[in-house]
Amino acid sequence: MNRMTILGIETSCDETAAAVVRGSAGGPADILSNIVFSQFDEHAPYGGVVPEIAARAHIERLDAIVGEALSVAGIALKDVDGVAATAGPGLIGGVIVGLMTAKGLAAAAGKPFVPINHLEGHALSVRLTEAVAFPYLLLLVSGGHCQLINVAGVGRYEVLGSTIDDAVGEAFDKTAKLLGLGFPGGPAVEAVAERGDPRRFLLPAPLKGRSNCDFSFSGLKTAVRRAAEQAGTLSPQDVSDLCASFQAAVSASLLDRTARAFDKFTARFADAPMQLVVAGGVAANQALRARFGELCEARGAALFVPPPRLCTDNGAMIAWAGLERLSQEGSEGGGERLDAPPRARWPLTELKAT
Amino acid sequence: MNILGLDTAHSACSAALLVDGKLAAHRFELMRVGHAERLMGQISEVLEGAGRKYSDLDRIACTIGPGTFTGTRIALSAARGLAIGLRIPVIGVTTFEALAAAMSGEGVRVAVFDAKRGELYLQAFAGDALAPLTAPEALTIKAAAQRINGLGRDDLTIGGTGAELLQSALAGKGVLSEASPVPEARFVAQLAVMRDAPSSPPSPLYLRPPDADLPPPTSLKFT
Amino acid sequence: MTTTPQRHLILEQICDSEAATATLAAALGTHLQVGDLVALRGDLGAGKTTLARALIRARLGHPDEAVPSPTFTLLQTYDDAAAPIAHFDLYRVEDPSELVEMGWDDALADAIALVEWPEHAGALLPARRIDVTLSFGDSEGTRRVTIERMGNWDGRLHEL
Repeated sequence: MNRMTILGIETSCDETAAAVVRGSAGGPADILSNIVFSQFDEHAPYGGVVPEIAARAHIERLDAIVGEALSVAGIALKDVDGVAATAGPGLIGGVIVGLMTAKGLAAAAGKPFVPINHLEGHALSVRLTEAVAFPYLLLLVSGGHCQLINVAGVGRYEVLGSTIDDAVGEAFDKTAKLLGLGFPGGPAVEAVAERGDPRRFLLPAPLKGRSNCDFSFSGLKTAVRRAAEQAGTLSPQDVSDLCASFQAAVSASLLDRTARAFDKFTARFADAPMQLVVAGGVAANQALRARFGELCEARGAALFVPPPRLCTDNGAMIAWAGLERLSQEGSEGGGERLDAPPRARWPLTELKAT
Repeated sequence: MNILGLDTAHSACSAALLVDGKLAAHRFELMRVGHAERLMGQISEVLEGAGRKYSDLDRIACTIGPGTFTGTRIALSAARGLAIGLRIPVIGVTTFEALAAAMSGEGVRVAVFDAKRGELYLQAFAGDALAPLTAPEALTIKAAAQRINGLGRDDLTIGGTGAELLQSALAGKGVLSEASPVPEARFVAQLAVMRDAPSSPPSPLYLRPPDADLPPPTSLKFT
Repeated sequence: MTTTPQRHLILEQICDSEAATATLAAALGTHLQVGDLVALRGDLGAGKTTLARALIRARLGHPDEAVPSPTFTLLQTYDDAAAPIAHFDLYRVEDPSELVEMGWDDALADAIALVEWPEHAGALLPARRIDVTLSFGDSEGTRRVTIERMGNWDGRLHEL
């Protein structure tokens, strides 16, 4: 299979990101550069003046990020085999900036452009760093995403469940806020929970027992609040116990939903080895990871968790999805893709295999 | 000088190519939505129509607003992407200038857009040289009328999507322009002929609504 | 010269269940038009998103419409022939200048805007709007809901 070099751009929410990835479909691949603005050395392209750029002003940042991605990768734009960019879902203003800049770059370089669904970027990202064959079950858990997906191939996704209200990351952040802990909430709650008794407060594991694979965490938020009120003035131990109980409830719910998804996976892919990929910022929670490890061991399943820098929004996963798609589709149809629309909403289930 | 002009800031999508400073090809399509889908197609059509390639371009001219939030970003982002790839500059042109350039005569050219919710985007210029008589502003209809009345001129031509609203508020003063009420890329390209290339690419022009006491979105000063 | 915007109480009610709040939300929704903004106020867990969800579902006529929390996405939009709906959550917004890049001005002009954590919009929150305030009642599941009209509504929304 031919190795390809793809420039990927991501601007659908908070992060302005670009990356260059080189490899062949199936992975793993070389990440030649992975630049995200929030971790970028802001001084370099602005000649030492630190700019105050409003959050999500992607059009101010993207040129410099793209330049840095190419420079760190040691290549020029003409050396890429394609340019990929998130075309949705997300904040439409940001999506437009990444999408149209990428179209301009591709047209100028005379290379194919590939529009990418942000969720597909997450779904395929594990293959960037590990040789994971299709099919696999993906649990995507972050501040903004909470989905269980059967990934059968590029463009072949079955959403088994998603959140009906709050995502997991959001539940952690709001619990942290309720209990007066710092930001970001996830690590704060996890740290404090280590010293806590997870059985002290009986918090409901939402939707546990339901036969579908959906998630719900807003009720848990209310339960934490009520438990905190009933406990009166909270000592540090009270807070630790509440966090531990909260984390245990989240775990129980996630595991229950995932275990049901395992059943659906095996029903669908009877001969395939069971593989679980847990991606998204919440996957960094070690206590959760340990629980997933236990579940996978009990079910004889392999567990994969991509590295944190590929779990938060980034350009490398977009470049990678672009590479996988371009490998399948070939570069005909490049002109048609230049008319790809920006989409605020773009359900994963609308994607097709090529 | 070969210049590609672009606009998607209002309810039209247009691209125009000047070859050696003269209009060689252009496309102009009215549309409320669909700019992001159509623009690149228009660009390749005007290049092909004039028998030119991307590598023949010396600069790109693009409107920066005011206009719709999504529209101002569509053409400008494409322009900036092309510019990086071709290593050429992007010249920013306001939608006010583009409208005024489409009008004719030595009198006052009032470029005015309907910003909805009883507000207008407004700027007035004098003659072919487009000498600005007012600053670019977002104003209530009443304040806009006061601004124009304050010029003390009776040779007004009014163009743009807010022209009729403004003319009513001026008690019928002024003549409605026959030019398109939305920008056209061929005028955008033309305006860029005599401009110096900036040292950094242009950003969208955001005019604050009246009474909003807010610092600009970015305090980075581009020279 | 600053004038204090007129404030008119439309309704204050104790809703003893989520269903009761949903009914109230649906009723409010029938009165809204493009260009209207509803500011949803209340503590964490008070039910702002739940109310917004009920209002959106009622307007769309889809009781099962997926209406996820916009806390992380900041904005969820809903197409509708009658009037698009822009559901903002400004919880993560640290400065009103961020609203520019979220298409705030256009959304307010072209859609019905529902805004959680409106305090974070600063001076960009329009003087003419509906304020819905949710607070906890005496028992689990009950909420006190206050609906007020701010600014000039030309006689609209006198009552639900």
